[in-house]
Amino acid sequence: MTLVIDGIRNPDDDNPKGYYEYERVKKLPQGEADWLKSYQGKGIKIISALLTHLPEDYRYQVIFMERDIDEILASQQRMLERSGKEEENSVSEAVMRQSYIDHLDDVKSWLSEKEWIQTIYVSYNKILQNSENEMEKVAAFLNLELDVQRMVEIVDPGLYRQRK
Amino acid sequence: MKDFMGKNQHKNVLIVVLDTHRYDRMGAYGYPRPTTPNMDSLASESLFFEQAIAPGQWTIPSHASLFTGEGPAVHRTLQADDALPKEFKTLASRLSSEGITTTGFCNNPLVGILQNGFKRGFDHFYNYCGVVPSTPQKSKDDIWQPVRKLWTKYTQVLRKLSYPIQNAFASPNEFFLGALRPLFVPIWTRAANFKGMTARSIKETAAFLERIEQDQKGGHFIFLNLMETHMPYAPPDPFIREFAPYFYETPEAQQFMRSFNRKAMQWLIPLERPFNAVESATLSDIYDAEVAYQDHLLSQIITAIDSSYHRDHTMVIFLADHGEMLGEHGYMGHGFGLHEELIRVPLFIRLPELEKVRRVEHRVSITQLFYTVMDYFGFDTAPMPYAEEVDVACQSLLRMISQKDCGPSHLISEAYPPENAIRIMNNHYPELIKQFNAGHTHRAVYQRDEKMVAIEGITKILYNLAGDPDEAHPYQDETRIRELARILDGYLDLAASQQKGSSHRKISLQDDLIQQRLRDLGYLE
Repeated sequence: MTLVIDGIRNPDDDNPKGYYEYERVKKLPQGEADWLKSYQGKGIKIISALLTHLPEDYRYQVIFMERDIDEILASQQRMLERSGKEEENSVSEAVMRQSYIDHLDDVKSWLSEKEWIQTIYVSYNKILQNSENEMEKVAAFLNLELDVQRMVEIVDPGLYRQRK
Repeated sequence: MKDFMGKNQHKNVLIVVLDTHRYDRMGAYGYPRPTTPNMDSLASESLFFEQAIAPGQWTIPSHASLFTGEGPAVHRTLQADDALPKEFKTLASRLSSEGITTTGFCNNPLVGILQNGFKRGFDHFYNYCGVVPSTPQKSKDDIWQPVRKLWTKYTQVLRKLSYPIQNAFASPNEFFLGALRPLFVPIWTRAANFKGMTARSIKETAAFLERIEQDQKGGHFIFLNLMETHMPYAPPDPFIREFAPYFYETPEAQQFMRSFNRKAMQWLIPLERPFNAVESATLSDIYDAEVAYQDHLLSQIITAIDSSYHRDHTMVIFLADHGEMLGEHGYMGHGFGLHEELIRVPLFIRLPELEKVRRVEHRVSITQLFYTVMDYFGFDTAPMPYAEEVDVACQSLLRMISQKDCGPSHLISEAYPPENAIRIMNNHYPELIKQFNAGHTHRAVYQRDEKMVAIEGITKILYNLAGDPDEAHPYQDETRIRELARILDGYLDLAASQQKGSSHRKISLQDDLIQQRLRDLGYLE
């Protein structure tokens, strides 16, 4: 399966192997979604906060990656520190933590109501522990002839740095 | 859905919530002063409920009940920073999902500004309150269209910025307490349109009703909330001169109103001392002037619905979400207690095909309006999140008149202490908490002429409202107290069992926090 990546965001200390970003997804809240037409059948990384802006004109299969909230917050904090933006985020970790829990609850609830979206939830932490098992689940969900072994090789435990 | 709209393509419902409006200040309810000639006229051709009660003592729980058909103990939306649990499908959501166009015209920031789920299901919602009101767009084809577009964009940005800040005031925090200082009160009451824009919202609702008539296309649910009779009180001069003719010649009265309108803390808590005669008369008369001014403005709506189209197709409901204490029993405002001045509310429904007034003597709750509107639009049952489907007809005020056996045998009203007000009292007037049992939930059970008020963990008081409408003489009847307490316990047990799995939670600024965080991380623009 081809992934849609624009290569604009360069590798950095946070993600030394680079980012799977496609900058145009950021335009979804403004209703700019015509580009989706060109990428049917391909994979695009979209953060949870943008999922609810997907237009109903297509059917989607969402692989929803979940990770321990505290690890997410630690990872984000590290990224903010490196970029010098941590001062702008002065709310307590507890508030941010609860906000993420509520946000994920809202997005999952939204996904559950949309018959034009199929969702599989995969655990980041489980992928690290038992990659093959999780990748097989993803392949079955997509119903495609995927090279599971190659998928497993992509997982790099060396990048798992913010641990509980 | 096609069948549903087939049945309803000519039906409309208009709900007018008179926020903070006492029933006993209306001519239709026997008030001798000419405060409400326009509404009295409408009431005289309506299904008129002599004894309607509110399920809660203030806007948040009362509107939550109106929108969900459930009591406060069930919906648990009790405080200014509570959000309606997601599993409750609101009245507007239910109607909208069946193709009814749902439109809100709102002057109350607790309903329109807070992100508490009350706007859920409205296709269009106009806020006349708040720092940046959102009101209906003007004609699309005028020469100012480009300017309007720019202005719209500008106000959208301002609104986006201001809403989270305004929501922050809902919590009992330092923001809230600071805003209540007399210096700041004029700022948020005027600049932030605390009471909205009564005249404009009425004018635009009337225009909307006229457009529906011109289009001859039904299927509308219209909700209008008016705040004119809410504190602070500043009615126009002609109304002051009519209802408080002494006001401009009485310095004590003027001084009292100036002080009252600035001391917002005291709107929310019981009185430290009773009002003296001048204060009491001034407050009461100025309140009447507000009632009369709002009624005067409402003539536009009443004229708009006087057409044969609306008479034939539009069910019009007038109600209050709660009343107001003006010093009676030591209380001011609508924060505490369950006295009749606060809980008994005006309610009348003008129905197509009803040619003259029909008075309903037995007690009803405005929570039943949820089912009444569904009944009018032809729903037979209402699936509820926790319970089995509810038989709409049995709860509907339209049909329980003729099917008395299946309506509720008792009604319950609840007053949970508002946390904001408790915080004020803790900081400034701790003795009032004990004096008024203010930290305890009050619940009232009504059955026939009896009203039992249970103050949680303290006492139970029984009144016979037929002989003691002012609730001045509680009487002892242990058997009846036990029977009514059993009814209350049953309701609370049921509510508690329904809480399991509830998604009750506080209003959160999570979206804004998360969006800012993701923006900083480079994942959002």
